[in-house]
Amino acid sequence: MYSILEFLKKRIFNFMSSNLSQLQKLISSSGFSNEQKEEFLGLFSKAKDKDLKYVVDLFKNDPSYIEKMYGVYRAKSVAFKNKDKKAWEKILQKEHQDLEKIEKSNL
Amino acid sequence: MEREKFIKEKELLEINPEKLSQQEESFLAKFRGKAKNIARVLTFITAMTAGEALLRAQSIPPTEAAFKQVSLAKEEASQEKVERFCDFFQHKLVELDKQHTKKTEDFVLDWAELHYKFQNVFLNELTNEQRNSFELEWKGIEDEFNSIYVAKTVGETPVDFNNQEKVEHIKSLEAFGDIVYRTPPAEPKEDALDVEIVLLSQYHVGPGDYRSEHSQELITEALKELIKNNDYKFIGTEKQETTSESIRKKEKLLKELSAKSELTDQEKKLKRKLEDILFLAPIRVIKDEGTEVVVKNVDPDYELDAKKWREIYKEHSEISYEFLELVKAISSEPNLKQELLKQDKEFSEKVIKSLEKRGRGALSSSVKEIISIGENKGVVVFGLGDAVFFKSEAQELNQNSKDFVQKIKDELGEDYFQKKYNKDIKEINLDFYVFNPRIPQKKNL
Repeated sequence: MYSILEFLKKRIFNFMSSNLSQLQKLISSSGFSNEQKEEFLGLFSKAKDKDLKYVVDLFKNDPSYIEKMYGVYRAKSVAFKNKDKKAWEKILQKEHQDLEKIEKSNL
Repeated sequence: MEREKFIKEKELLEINPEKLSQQEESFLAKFRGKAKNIARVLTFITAMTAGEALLRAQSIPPTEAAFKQVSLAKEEASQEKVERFCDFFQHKLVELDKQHTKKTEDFVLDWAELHYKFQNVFLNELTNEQRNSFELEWKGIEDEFNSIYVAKTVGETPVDFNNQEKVEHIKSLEAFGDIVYRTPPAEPKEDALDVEIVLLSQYHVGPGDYRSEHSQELITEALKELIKNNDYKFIGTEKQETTSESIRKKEKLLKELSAKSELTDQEKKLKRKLEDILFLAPIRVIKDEGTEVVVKNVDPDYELDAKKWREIYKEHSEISYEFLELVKAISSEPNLKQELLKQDKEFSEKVIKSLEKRGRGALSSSVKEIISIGENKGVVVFGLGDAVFFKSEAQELNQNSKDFVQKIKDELGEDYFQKKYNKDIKEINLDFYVFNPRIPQKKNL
């Protein structure tokens, strides 16, 4: 009983500095509509907070990725919804190409 | 069932980079540096999107609350407000904790659910500037928790004490009937009122209890048991306003008075009083929920007494002892202290005076709530917070019970006993009980 409470208390007080909270701030400052912001944050809210670290790091270092990743999310979401395998493969292919470009430009 | 949905969602959304398939791992392994980080985010989004799609496919729409969780703030809430909310939430945790006597899987899930709710409500709070709406949010949560709790114990809400079957069921759960501590009864004196002091460990009975109506029912039933065993006549208990109801009424009245262009002297006085009450309300709520913060700030003697009380209690109930330790841990939380320290000097003085009054001189509101049953027999019901310091006070008063009688007369009217018993009571014989409505008796601890 005691440890559960302690655990939760810790969670509560850590919340303000949580990754989700940071994501909230980052996405709030984007040019998205409120609906888009809520939609995008809704996705992250269901993840474990520690798993959002990479997302926070990326968005912090390069805010342009907020918009890019939202685009990816929307595209993937639509593909899933429509069970559109072709569209899905296309998205992954493009992702791969983009990543390779980025890696090359870093070399 | 919302809880089932919650658990299901959580299970389905246990998708994270650590659980990515080998194929995705090999995809990530192809990249380094920034590209790798982007790849991680991309695969993460894939996993989460898939999770969402899976939910949809299984016709489990993500709860509205889950999306509200990330409602964007229309305005930034002040840090103070957030801290106050956190403090309040901690008390909520304690309340829920008290409702559980068995550390079952359900218990843990309830805690988890509470946390989940907290995140939603907490963030909702960020979008609302009004404290009233914040309270309303909590009311809904409270109701929900209460229904979970009641459903767990008696299978139905609210508890219907007219339903004998239910009452029997509750009794079978050992919800009632454990009188675990009693001093030897004093020799009856002429012109004396025999007072049974019933200390309820798990239910607060003062008007500050937000579940006072429910508590009243429990107390009523507990008293009936007590009376049955002791051949008393039952008179009944009065219903109390809950704190939030009371505060809302006061706030409304204050608003009305503030809107008036001119006030009479009486109205001015009332307005000042209301302002004082409402200003102190959050602190009172903390007190009424049984923390020792206020005790610590009043007089070190009371702290000492709290320790003694804990020792006594430990003999009888391990669970309650843990609970007291929990309260202690929470009350020593820096945020609660900061809350007091943050206030200006005038405010601090007001708080201290108020607490001193409550701790030292004034009778517990519970005394006014339930004072007597039967001819020349009285029952005073105290909550845990009162018990911490009233026990020694009552013992002391037992030495000179005339003081206690006078105290009651001062607060309830000189003719109180005359009206109540048709005779003037000069002394009282104090007796003690620890009536433990939820915790099974643990005599052999």
